[in-house]
Amino acid sequence: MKLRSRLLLNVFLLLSVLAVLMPFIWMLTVSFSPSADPFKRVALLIPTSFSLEGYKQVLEQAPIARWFMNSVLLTSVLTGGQLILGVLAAYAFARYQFRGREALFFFVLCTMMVPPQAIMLPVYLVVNSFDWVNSYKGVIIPHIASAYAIFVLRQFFMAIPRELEEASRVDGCHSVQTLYHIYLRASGPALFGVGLIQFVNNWNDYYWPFLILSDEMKMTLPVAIVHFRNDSYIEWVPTMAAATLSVLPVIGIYTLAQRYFTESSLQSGIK
Amino acid sequence: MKKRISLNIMLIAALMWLLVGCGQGNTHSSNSEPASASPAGTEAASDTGDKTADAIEIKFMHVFGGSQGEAIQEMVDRYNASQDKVIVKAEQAQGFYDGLLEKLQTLAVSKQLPEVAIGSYANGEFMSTRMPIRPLQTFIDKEGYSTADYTAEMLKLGQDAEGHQYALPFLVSTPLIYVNLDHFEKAGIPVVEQPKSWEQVRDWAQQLAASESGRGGIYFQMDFDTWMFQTLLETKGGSYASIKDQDVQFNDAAGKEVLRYWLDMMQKDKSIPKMNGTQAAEAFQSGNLSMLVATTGNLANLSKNSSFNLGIMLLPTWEGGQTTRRLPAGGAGLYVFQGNDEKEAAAWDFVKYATSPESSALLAEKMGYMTVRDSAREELMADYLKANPMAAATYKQAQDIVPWFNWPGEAGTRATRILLDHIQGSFAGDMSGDEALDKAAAEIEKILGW
Amino acid sequence: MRRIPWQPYLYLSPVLVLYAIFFVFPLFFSLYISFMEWDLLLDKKQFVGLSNYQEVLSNPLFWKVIRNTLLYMALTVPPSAALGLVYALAIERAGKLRSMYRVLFFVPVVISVSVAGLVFSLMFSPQKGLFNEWLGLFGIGEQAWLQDTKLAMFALAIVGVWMSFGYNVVLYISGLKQLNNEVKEAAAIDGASGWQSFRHMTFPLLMPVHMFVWTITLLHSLQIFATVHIMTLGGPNNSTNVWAFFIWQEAFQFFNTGTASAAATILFVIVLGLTVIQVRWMQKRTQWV
Repeated sequence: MKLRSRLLLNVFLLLSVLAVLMPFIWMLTVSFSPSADPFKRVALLIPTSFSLEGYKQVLEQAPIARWFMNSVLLTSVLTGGQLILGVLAAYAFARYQFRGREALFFFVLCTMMVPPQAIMLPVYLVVNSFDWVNSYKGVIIPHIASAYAIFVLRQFFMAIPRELEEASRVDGCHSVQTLYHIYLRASGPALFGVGLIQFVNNWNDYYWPFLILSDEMKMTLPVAIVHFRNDSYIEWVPTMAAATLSVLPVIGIYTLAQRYFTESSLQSGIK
Repeated sequence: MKKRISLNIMLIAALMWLLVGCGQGNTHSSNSEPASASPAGTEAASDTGDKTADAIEIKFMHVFGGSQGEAIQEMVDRYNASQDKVIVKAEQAQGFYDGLLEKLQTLAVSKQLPEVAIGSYANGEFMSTRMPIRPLQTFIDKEGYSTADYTAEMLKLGQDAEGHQYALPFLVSTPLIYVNLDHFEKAGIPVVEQPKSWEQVRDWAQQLAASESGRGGIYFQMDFDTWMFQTLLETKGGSYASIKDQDVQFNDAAGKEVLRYWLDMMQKDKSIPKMNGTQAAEAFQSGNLSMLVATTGNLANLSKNSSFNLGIMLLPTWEGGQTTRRLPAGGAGLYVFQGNDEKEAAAWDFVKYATSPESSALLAEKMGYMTVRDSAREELMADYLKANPMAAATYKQAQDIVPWFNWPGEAGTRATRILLDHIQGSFAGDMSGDEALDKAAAEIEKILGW
Repeated sequence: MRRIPWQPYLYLSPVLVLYAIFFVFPLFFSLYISFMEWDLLLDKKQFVGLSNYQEVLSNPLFWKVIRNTLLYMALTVPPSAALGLVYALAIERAGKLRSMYRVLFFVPVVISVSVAGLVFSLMFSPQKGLFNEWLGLFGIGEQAWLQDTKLAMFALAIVGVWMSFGYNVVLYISGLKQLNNEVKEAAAIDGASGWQSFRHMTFPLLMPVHMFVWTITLLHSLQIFATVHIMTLGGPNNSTNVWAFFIWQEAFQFFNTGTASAAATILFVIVLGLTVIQVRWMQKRTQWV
């Protein structure tokens, strides 16, 4: 391609990136503005004065550390569970011939496609009958079987040469050992990728924790950042500061491991 | 090799997640120590350390965040420090009164209701007939508790038809007109305590909006409810409905005139900007809106953040003046939910404290709502009200307080929503005002089975 | 003779048990509730036949909600898919900065919807918002994005596209990578121009990716809930009230379990039909299943 058209293309892409990232820049701008006048800016974006007031207010007024810990805990347990159950199920689907395999796999795919809102009321009532409303169990257990994890891990497992497995059988490994020695070892990066994606998705989950957790001290970050909304008056500076804080871990994980995200996302369509 | 390492780290991490995670999960869910939400809260938490182990813990659910939430927390902290039998944990439900009602319904189903909650006066009917509350009259009778010091009009806000107290008034508000005095001065409009009429307010709004481009003249805050509509409608002599005759009446002449009044200001005068209540509050604070008709409860927030001379005017009547001003009481009462005797007694004790003259004065001063106690107004707050004429303004119209209209039965939230949706639809230009009210009335009659 | 293996059933059992409790049972439970008048607060239940369905279908709001949902899908899916393809093509030709672009375009995908909802509601604010300032630069007056019944859905669609198209970019890039050599060779033989080879080679060859992108984006936009809940609560005048929000509102705001379940059942049947067709198609056309 000609140098000049490539340059133009890059200018176009850089501008697009700027537009795509604009909400973040804007969030940061507002979060570092003084509360009294959050919207006085130079050239649309740069605050006229810089202030940490918003962050101070969040840290003082809101149990944000607690929410953060809640999110870490809940997301970790949920993701871990999804991976473990996902590995087991994917292994069964990928390596065994058994009656009902196709039908069951089809069924697993269907669970991905049904809008969660279509069954949110009955699931809520089920959770309620177990007395899990307002507890982490109620948030975690209904979602621990993840069709996405099963689906992607099955892809990876199927790509592993059968000979390896047969060799290990010959070595006298039983089924669980085979799973560990052959499949898990070979698909480490895939597991890691799926885990990361699930972690981020679980971290970001909004509607289910919002429905189940009513205790302010149990809330997760995405639900709790709406905390600063009160009657007819939203305090934007601390709200944006809280939003920034809640995004940081995700951005951190993403920057460190972005390769896994884009690659593993390709394996399936569920965000 | 690299792969192997990352896999092992992953597995170990997964195991840690499970093991460590579960342990923490238990401590989290069984943790009974009240967590601190503010610096004030931390003090309270250390106080509770000294309390006897058998102190009863109760939950108190409200809707306030920001500086209003801090005021509530301060009151709760004071209560916790004042005695050692009960520990109150305050909790904010999101989404204001609607969000609270949703939350309380789901909590009622899961049998996890808090012991005490506030409830909007707009939902009194719902709370008293559909929720498992313990009417406060029970405790009042048992204890011979005197309600004489509660302001009489406000006491009525928590009474059923027989005059039994199902709730006690906690926070009461009236609408006020917040004005940007700088704008008034520049436009040469005299500042008065109370405008002559809503028609005069309209003229001002038009004048103020025209004086600078990008400025709004006036905004009536009605994001969540139809409070403003009721205020203007009843002051005009109209009413929402006659429950006795099963007849919706807000689409009679008075209602249509009120809506036309707003629509004319929006469409002809261009003095009401298109925005929501939050944005209007922001616009007002940054000097882009001259008048804001909103609850007394916003006083604290608005005066804290406004960079200009803030003034307050009382609500006028309509031109002609044959009808009197009627101000539906905004705010919320306190409810106690059914539980065991111990919890109920603790809840009642907290309700008494929360509505005591001292607490009521504290909340009134810090939040901007009205005190519900005569003695607080006349004694505890006398100096404060003298020094803060803006805070005193709302009391000057308090004699006109009337109850907030409640739709009968379980369909109240839906009926309110239908009316609000249609009013907003007419604001957006989807239909005419008359059409909006007629349609809303027809739909409400249908769901009420009238 | 083959032994029937027991292991797969063992490995699948935790997942299947969970699905039975939290997926299959709720589906039937929902169907059951949809024939009942069930007052959860007073715990009174009564069989009412089809009257909940009748109530839902005769509610003008229900039809408005369906129109809104379709409108939202029409406003988000094509732009999201098209932007995905356009940027994938652009990034593939961008040279050294390729991987950086890929990473940055994907950022909105990993952001929580509640943060996006909050930030965008501020950006759409009529007086302070970024969008109006930009429009102001072009001499367009202030718009009340989220307060205008004609613009509110459009505003939500902007957020929806913003959150989803980065994902499509990545999908298309991978599709292009698989094709690139084939297409180049073929094009070199034909002597076709860039546009011609795109139209006749690249675009049709990407068909499996197109299908995948469209399906996923459609399903996501059909399920839109959180942005509505955070940004507009279905308003103004229900102009942004969509299917999922309507069900939530019936169930948890108006507490009408019967009509909520009836509406959910109708939704489920439609989506199930589409899904069966879709999964069948995927089974035939791709190696993924």
